Amino acid sequence: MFLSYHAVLVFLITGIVMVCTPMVLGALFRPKNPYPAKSMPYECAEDPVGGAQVRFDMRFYAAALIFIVFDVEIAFMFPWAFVFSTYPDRTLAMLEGVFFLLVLGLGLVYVWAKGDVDWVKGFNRRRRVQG
Amino acid sequence: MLNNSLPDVAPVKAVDGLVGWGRGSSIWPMTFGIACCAIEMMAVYAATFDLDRFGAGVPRATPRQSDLIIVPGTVNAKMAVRVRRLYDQMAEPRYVIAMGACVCGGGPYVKWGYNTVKGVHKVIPVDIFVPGCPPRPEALMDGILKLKEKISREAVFARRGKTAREMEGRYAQAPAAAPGRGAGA
Repeated sequence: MFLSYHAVLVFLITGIVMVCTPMVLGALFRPKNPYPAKSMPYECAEDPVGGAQVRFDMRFYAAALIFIVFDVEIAFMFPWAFVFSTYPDRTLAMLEGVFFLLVLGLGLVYVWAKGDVDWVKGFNRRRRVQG
Repeated sequence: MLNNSLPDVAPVKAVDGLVGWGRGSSIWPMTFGIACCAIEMMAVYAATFDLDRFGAGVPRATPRQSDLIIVPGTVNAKMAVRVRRLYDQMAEPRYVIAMGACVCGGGPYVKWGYNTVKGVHKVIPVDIFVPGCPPRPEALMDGILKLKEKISREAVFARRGKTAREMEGRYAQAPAAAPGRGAGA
């Protein structure tokens, strides 16, 4: 019954061997010479400051995502602008470009409406309620 | 584990040659540029000169993955400490190419450059010096090929020459401080 799984066994053994061989070979080949300056965390040759497990403000995440919207937009606009003059049907090319911008603009509108553009999320809405 | 611990006999030499050929043909330089020589270095990496022909064309963004640090440009006293630490944090075996007149011995700043380190060999052990102000891309490529030769001649397992630790013992013990101002003036 288990004989039908011999392929799995072969793959398992192959996988283990493929991982272990380079590690053993590397241990044989490499010089081992640790010292404090070498074991120090790499911080572009500066002295590390503070701990690595710090809290990071989640609002930067939203800001980075919004940045990606514009970043990708520009990255796609360049080739579009480059071939625009040589494109046979310029009206179609223009419409396609505008449609692309509209879709991405819709993303910005969504983000704006959700209040992610504000640094303090929902602050304006709360103030409206109070006033 | 077995580094420089086996007797220097023919089979060990053959394996050493094989490892040296592999190491020399797959040098990983570090993404590192200081001054104007770095522009020439970038040209060497780019398509016209194409350092990747010699297996050294993929600069790594961290010293942990690099074998080679090309020091391209004037090293001043503040930078020397950083260069030293970057070298420290590289994985062994590691190699250094000093690129340009400033790094080889002070260059135009040798007399009046009060904050220039007169040669990066005062901070880290240099394998290949490539002089020039700046060196032509061909010169740097020649330096890389010379380094390749040097690596392929190196003893890996055989007990021959000095071990990596002995070779840089002087540097590993020294504090990572730049030479004082006016040195060599």
